[in-house]
Amino acid sequence: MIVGKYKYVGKRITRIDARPKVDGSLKYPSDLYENGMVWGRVLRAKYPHAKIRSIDTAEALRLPGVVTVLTHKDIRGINRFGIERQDQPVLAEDRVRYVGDAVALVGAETKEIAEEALDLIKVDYEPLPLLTDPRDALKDNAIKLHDGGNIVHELHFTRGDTARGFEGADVVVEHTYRMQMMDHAFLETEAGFASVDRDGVLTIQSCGQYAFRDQTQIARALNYPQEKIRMIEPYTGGAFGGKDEITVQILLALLALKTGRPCKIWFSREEHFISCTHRHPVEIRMKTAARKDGTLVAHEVWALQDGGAYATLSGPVLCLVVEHCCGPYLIPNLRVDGWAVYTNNGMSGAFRGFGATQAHVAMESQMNIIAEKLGMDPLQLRLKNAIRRGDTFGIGQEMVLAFGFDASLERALAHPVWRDREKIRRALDDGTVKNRWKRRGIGVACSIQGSGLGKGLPDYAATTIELNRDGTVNLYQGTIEIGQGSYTGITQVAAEILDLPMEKIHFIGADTGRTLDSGTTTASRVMYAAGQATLLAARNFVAKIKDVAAEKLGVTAGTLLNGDGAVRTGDGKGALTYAEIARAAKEPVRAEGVFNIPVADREFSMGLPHLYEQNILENGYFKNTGLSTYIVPSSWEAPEIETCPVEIPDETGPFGARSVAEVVTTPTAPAILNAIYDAIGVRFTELPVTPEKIIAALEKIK
Amino acid sequence: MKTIETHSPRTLEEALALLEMMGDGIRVIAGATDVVVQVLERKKDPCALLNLSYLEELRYIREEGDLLAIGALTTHREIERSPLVMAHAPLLAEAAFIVGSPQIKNLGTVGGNIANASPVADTVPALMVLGATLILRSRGGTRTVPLAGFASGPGRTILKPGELITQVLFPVLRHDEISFYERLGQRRLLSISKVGVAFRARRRDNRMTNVAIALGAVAPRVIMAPNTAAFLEGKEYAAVVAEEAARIVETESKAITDMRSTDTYRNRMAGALLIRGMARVCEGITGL
Repeated sequence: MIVGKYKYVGKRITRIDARPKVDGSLKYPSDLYENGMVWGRVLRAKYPHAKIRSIDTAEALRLPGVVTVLTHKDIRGINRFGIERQDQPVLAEDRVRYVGDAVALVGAETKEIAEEALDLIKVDYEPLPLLTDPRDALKDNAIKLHDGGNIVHELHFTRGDTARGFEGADVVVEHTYRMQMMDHAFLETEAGFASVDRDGVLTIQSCGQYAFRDQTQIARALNYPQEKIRMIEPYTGGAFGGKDEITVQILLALLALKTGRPCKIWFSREEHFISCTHRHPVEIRMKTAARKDGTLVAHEVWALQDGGAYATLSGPVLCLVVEHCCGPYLIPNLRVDGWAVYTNNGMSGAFRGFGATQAHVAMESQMNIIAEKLGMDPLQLRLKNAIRRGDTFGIGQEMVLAFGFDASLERALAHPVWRDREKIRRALDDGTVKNRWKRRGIGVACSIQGSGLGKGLPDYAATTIELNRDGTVNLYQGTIEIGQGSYTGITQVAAEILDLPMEKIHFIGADTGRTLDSGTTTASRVMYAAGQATLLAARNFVAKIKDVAAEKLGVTAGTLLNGDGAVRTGDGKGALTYAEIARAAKEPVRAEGVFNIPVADREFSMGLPHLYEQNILENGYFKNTGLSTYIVPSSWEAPEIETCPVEIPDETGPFGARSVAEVVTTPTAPAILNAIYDAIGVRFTELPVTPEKIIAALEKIK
Repeated sequence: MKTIETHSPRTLEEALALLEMMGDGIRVIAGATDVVVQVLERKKDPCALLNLSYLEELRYIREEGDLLAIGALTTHREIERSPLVMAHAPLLAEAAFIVGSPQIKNLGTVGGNIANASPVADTVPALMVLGATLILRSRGGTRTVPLAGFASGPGRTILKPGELITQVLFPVLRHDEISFYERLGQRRLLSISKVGVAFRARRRDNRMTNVAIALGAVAPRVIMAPNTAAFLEGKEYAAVVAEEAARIVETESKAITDMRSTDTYRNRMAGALLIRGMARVCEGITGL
């Protein structure tokens, strides 16, 4: 985006939700309460893999204050959900496949009674053998977790002839990388509130990342008419992919329909840890070959992704692992084999970076290893192989639009940290007490990631803008504000085109009853797609108000100018304010725009968690299920970040904007891995890298 | 979740009477920062709770001659901010500062930190090198015990039925004494210590005497490092001396591997923290 050209776009503007978020007047899903509401609590599986022989709820039902205890028998629909494949039961039937499986749902007058009732439900389990090693899942004699087997998805791709590529190469490096399971650790655990009216219309205010798809999933699982389900999900207390799949929504709908009362479900932190989707643990083996001059000639990739108990988004995540396995580089001979498998290890799904992160950790490590073997500057090696506009790379992605990878590399090459890196590294070798225990390393890593869902998937957004009688406008947008600032960004786009102050634009967020379907709030697509839809809606809106004004003023619409909340004639003699136009219009002024970014700096620190965090599982059980044992870096750990934007506008984005959410989180971990190697000469290929691992490695060298 | 009967006496006498009457059936809480978590995670299932948080009489920091007396219900926040503690036992202020979050520090008490008998309690190593004693009260009377022998293992103490810690008492540091508390956690703040080192010594003409070192999180309870202290006794500070002391303290550290860290890391870092702390208090070098 070219900053400075516009009145609202590209300006540092106070977020439209800043005040209500700070003063507490904005209600998140977990903030909703009502007198007489029913508290829902979920009984989770006792075993990571077991047959359920029977469920006895009688004693729980007898506990005073318990309103209802529901099992799969109370569900009329398919009792299944899943974004890609509906294989996960809302309430388990005859089998549980991970410790987060929901077995029964209690509704009670208080949270405490609901909690107590959970202990009174008697489930007769027969524990089954576990499948916890994803390598075992591929074996023919493995126990089958689902009728269709243990493979969620597999991908195989070949281009050229890797064997010949390796033959002619001067250097071949082969390493296996292992990336850990991670938790999104959003602030607000999964929460929602539901009620049902006399006509059977369900209203669910919930966390989520796609209100319209949640609506479909509820209707399908419970066999309830979709038109009688209204999802309201404007504000969510963080998600990062972790609320993309269904969490509380279907359970809330079920509870409200069964009790007829307002209902609340709010997962505890522990329940969140065991039940939610995580970042996929992925094992990636890469064999990469280059010529003396640095030209990459062949690349073989083997990837195995542990999806856990149910499919959710394992397939699409594997697609992104495979799609990004070459990084942003041209490699003529390529062979990729990837599998996503089922295991009893919790469940994994969408997580910021969505597979691209894991692929880049491996590829960006490979690049530095090759550079060292060739005695080349690692940035020059990258520049040598960098993809450029017009290239077809990876598994056939075409770079049709403008992008600035080579320009970014040139910029990095010229940066003082890179230019003077030897001096910066040696600055600590001064023999002083203060520095003699310190080592410094300089690392680099790159990443590429698209905006939007990618080729072949419908990916659209729609915005409606309508004029109020007081001259303000309502802006209806169906995507979700999960903290990223998109509602502010979208409002900036509208304000720019309408030339109307931000505060005169009332934002109405995700509500299936009021907004149009704008797709998911994922894949770094909101600012791009919803932003562009808003731009088109605003242009259509301006055309409409000009038509109304033209008729009233007796001029042709083409001669009118729009600005500062009014429409004026070219000579400035005639003018109508937005309020006057609203009153003059014979019918409500409303315009739609259909289509398919500017909060950037701090995102870079998001890659840090890779080096810290890990969900630790033992035989299918989570060992660290609280924020005191699952340690998330805090603002104290965030390093100083200098952002050097290379501005190459995206011709298809609103005002040339492009998304930055995910692509900038990806290179942090491999850059640090490369820096650690630079500092101490130890190459880590397994995440996280803790101080304990570094000490152990250093002891080994000694 | 079931309801737990909670008694909240207003005086120490009342509390001691209740404790004697209820015997083992009641669990004492002060700030409840540990017990509430244990109950919520269903690791503990007490029948009843004795809530001491209203006992204002046990909430004070005062000088008693050459001694500093701290009431058992004094919070970490109060200790961390106390001018008396900062002047007379700065390492205790450092230890109280590192505990949890402001919310936890406003609830958690020094008496609770000691009674919980966790090897990772941050105030305990600091108090140990200060040579602290505890005053224990019961209906039957009062006794004074050294803090060093108070914990017998993780969560186990020599407290008798009916007894409460009412006061922590230690000699104030003299102007020629140096001290520090250094620790490492999984992140800088808001994390449980993986290893902690408390140090105090008298320093005259750069020569160290009366050296005391205590280590947290490296044994079933907080331990002293007598060999390291003996090595440093009478020596002049120098970076190489600190490094040699570090090698000794590593052998005195008896850490285990658990979810938070490894034995090797903890033992090595006990040495590193000794070097870091000594550089800070002997040479004014920070950021080591």
